[in-house]
Amino acid sequence: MNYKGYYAIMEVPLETRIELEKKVLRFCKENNFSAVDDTVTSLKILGFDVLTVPFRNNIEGMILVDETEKKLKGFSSNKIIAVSNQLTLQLSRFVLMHELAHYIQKKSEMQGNSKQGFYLAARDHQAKYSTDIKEQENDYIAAILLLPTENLKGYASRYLQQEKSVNVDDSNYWEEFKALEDNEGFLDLIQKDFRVDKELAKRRIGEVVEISKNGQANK
Amino acid sequence: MGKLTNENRREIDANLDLLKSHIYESANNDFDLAPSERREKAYADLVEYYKDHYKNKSVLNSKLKKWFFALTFALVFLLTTGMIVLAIVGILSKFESQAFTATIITSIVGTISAVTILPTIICNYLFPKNEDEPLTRFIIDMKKSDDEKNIDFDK
Repeated sequence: MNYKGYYAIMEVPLETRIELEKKVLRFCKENNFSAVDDTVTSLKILGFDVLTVPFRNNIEGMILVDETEKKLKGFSSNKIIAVSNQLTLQLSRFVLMHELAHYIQKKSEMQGNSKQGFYLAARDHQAKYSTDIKEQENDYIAAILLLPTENLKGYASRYLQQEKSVNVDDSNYWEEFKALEDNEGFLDLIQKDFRVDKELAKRRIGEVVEISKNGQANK
Repeated sequence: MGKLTNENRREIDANLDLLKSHIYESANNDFDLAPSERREKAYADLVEYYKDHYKNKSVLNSKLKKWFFALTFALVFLLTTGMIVLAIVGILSKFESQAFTATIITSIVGTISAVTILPTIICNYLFPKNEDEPLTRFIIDMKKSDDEKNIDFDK
């Protein structure tokens, strides 16, 4: 399998990324949601049935929601997220959050339009999806959920202070932060503690630096 | 919430059918753990189980020891007293026979020795002297393993 597409440089413009950060923050706050430690329990708290499935045909994840019914036929909830059982831990977590991103996006679109029944059906991570800008947005949301901006900033600050004696107020702080992209030791720590792929960690460092330097995130 | 259109419903049903065509499982709560973390969790669960088991066992042992002591003491007391009473009665009724007196005293000593040895053997089985040694070793090993691990930055 070629995973390059998951972490390819985003074509999502900076303004959209900032909006997505805000959208995710809002969703997490409203639903008291955090996927940093435990994606499955967090999804179950949101009411999802989380399934592991030996999918065929390159399907790696699926989300099914029908909030016009109490339950989907044959299941105990009206919301299901399924993930292939043939993926690595990091990728499984990423796919789960990518599926949730569909839900976050659709919920956000539906706000104030209660006349329309809320439903969602998506099968993802099939070949060639990564050129789709919407899917890239969902990837971006998944990355935020797994490695939230504030968590990464705090973690990196402690690392920089301890290992390089660089403080947040120092003039070279963001330069040093950005350099963590190529710091294998730091990426290993992130991979272990946040259970994300190193490539995702690398990408997030770049994104967080860019957004923070622009000073617009989380306002 | 409004109703779904037939097209929406068909889309959901098609996906449900696809899902049901596989043998799926509910994701466990340890889904997010790496294999090494699952092993750690298994150890932690084992320690937790052992802790509860040890606590229950300690309470039970303490009660059992008291009862065992009381019962053994009562039994030894009754047997000894009974034997002495019987011996006195026997000696008084046949006080002229020294051989009989000697036999009676020997049997009393023999019975008391047997009655004392038996609880000692039972006691050794019920409360082995080194029963806490494996637990102590286990705790020391766990502590050593924890100390060897690096403490990372907080998330």
